[in-house]
Amino acid sequence: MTIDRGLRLAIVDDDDGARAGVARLLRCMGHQVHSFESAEAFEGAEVSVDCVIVDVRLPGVSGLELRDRLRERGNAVPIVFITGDSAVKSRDTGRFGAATTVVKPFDDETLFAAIACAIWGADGDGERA
Amino acid sequence: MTVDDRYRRAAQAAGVGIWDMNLLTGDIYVDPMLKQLLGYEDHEIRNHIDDWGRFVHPDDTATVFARVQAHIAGETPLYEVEHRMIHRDGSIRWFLARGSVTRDADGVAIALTGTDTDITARKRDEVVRAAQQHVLGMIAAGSALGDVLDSLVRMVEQQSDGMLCSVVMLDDSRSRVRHCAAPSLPADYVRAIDGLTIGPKHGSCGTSMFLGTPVIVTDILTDPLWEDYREVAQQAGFRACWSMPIGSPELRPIGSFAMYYADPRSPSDAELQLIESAADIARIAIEHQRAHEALRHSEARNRAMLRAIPDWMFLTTVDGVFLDYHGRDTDGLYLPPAAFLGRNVIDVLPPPIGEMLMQAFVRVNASDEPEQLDYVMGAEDAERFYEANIVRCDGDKILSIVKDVTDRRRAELGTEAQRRQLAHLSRVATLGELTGALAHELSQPLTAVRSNAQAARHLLNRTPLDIAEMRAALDDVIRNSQRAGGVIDRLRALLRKESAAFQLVDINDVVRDVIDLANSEILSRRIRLDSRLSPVLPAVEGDRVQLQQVLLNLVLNACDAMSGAELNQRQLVLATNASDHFVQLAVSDSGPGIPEHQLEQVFEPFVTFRDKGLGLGLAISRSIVSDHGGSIRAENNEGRGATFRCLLPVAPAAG
Repeated sequence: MTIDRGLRLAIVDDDDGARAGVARLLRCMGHQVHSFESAEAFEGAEVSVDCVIVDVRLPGVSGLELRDRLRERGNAVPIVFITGDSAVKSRDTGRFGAATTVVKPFDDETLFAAIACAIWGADGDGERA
Repeated sequence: MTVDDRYRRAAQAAGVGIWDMNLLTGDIYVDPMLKQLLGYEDHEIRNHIDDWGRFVHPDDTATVFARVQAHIAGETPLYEVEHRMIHRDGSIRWFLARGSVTRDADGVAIALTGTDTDITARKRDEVVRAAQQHVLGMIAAGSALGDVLDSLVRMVEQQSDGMLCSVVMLDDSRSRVRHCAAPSLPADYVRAIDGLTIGPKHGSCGTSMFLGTPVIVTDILTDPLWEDYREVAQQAGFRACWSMPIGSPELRPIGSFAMYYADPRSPSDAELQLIESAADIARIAIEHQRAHEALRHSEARNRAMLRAIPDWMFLTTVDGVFLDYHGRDTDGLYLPPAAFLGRNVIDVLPPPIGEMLMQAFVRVNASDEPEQLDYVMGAEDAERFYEANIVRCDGDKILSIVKDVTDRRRAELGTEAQRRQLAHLSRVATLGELTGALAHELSQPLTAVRSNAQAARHLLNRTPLDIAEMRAALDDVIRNSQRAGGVIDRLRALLRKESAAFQLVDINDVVRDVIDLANSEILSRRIRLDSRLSPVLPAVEGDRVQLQQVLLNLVLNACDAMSGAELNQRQLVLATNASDHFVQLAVSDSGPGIPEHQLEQVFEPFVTFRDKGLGLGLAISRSIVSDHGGSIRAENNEGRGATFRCLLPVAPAAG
């Protein structure tokens, strides 16, 4: 799959500044962005996207829990975690194995590479039970 | 020469004089030599027993009379008695009288004929020897020095009629006189003399003790040495005073032996000898007493040491055979003495310990260097910790001094855990958790800044330019940068809120706690710690844990500052003192100091001149201190290094 049209992306982060900044960046890079301030808001909206960019730490349902819940419902949407804590990257991140994680603050290229990675690796991801 | 002449000559040479008494009339022929011995010319003493008898010492007349009677009565084969006679000058002569009775045809005693031999010299020697024996006996029996010297004085006084003696000693300052034995001197005189200083013109004793030589004053009234003391001596009735210093020739005298007479006179050779012997005996008495005291002292000290220090001492051969033991008490011994004395350490103690000790004995024996071993004995729940100090002793034996250190070891272990926990807390609080919280807090606005800036760059590639969007992006950059600044403030507030429990705190206690915590660090870096804590320090109102944090931070910083210094140049000073309103806590190091322009800068967050750490310690310390109403600043020392001074307000008085 080649990515030459704009992707449909969702950003889930409770921090207003970070969320707005990331959304603007992705839009300026030519993508369509939906913004949510919580995992529950994202689930409630039921939008269909190519990739979800979600902060690991969220009030209420965390980013990891969101992934678990999506997978349990059979939703294999590619997920990229973003986090302010560099230690998260090496930790066990839930029963669905390691995930693509990007540490804040990140460059546009780094974020995009992670999105591409998550989308291309999506085939194997949803099959784990 | 006639036979008579020969006898006479021989008798005279032997100091033997003949006497012959008519028991019926009392007339007595007395060899003129005998009268001369008493200082009289032949014609000065009438040849009658009434007259001659007067010269017998009053204390001896009864004995003499009894002996004469006994012999006359036929009880003794020979009349023999030693008795004293009084010399013209009042001194005493000892005579050995020997004689036998002549009876008439009816067996009535009509004459007593015999000799008197001057045994004064011998007697004096005997007396001196007896006195020595007696005195030594008294010392050995533990008599007080005063009693011993009293005894000596009385014995010497007996040698001469009318002579009074005394022993004076110098006090501890070696300059003032004190009567030590003066049983016969008038009390007023003794009181007047006690406490006087010694010197070159200070009577007989004062002068002799000052000069270290005997001083003979034949007439107190005319001798310049007694100028200042004439009145005192006169009141006591003294005219002559002879003084012999007591003490070895090399050292200054410790006292003197004095002889007083009521008439002006100078001593005969015999008397000089007597006073010399007396001073000598006094010296022996005093020195013995002192040695005895010193021994008692050191014995007492040794006993105290043994009681106070070790619990047990074991003497073993190099091969490990128990020879002897000394214990404060027998409780707590692994085995009773009967079970281990004579047996080997290996056989008596549990194997690992026995072997360890044996190996130590071998090493100690070879190197003659002491070793310290720690071991544990006893059942699981009743373990006792021991510390053994092992030294070589008497060349071929080993002395092990063992202490039960269970209580101390337990306390150490407890403190160790506490220490690690507190160290963990302080380190984590200042680094780990802070890093996490900080990084997370800052990552948000920074993400926004970077994302918006990079978005704006992408926007530059668009044609036409979306100016509005670019402006919005840049506005967000600015707003989020300001947010980042706010994060620091919030972080500080976050820290402070966590544990602000204000109560009365003694800063000296805080110092002691932190010394405890940082002790291993300080020791391992070979830093010399000097704590100068003001003993009287008013309390401060604050959070003890936070204040510990501040001080720990300052101490660790100081240690780091000195990491480049020479080993013997590393000194850390912790000082507390108080003024009216503030308690001051100062931490000084002997490191390179702080460049002038950085003295304030060091307190800013993220300012660090070292390659480790976030540079937050001082910022947080300052914020804690200012929360306590105090202040903290850095200054360079006059010599080496820098000092961080922390001022905290004194807690308002209760009530």
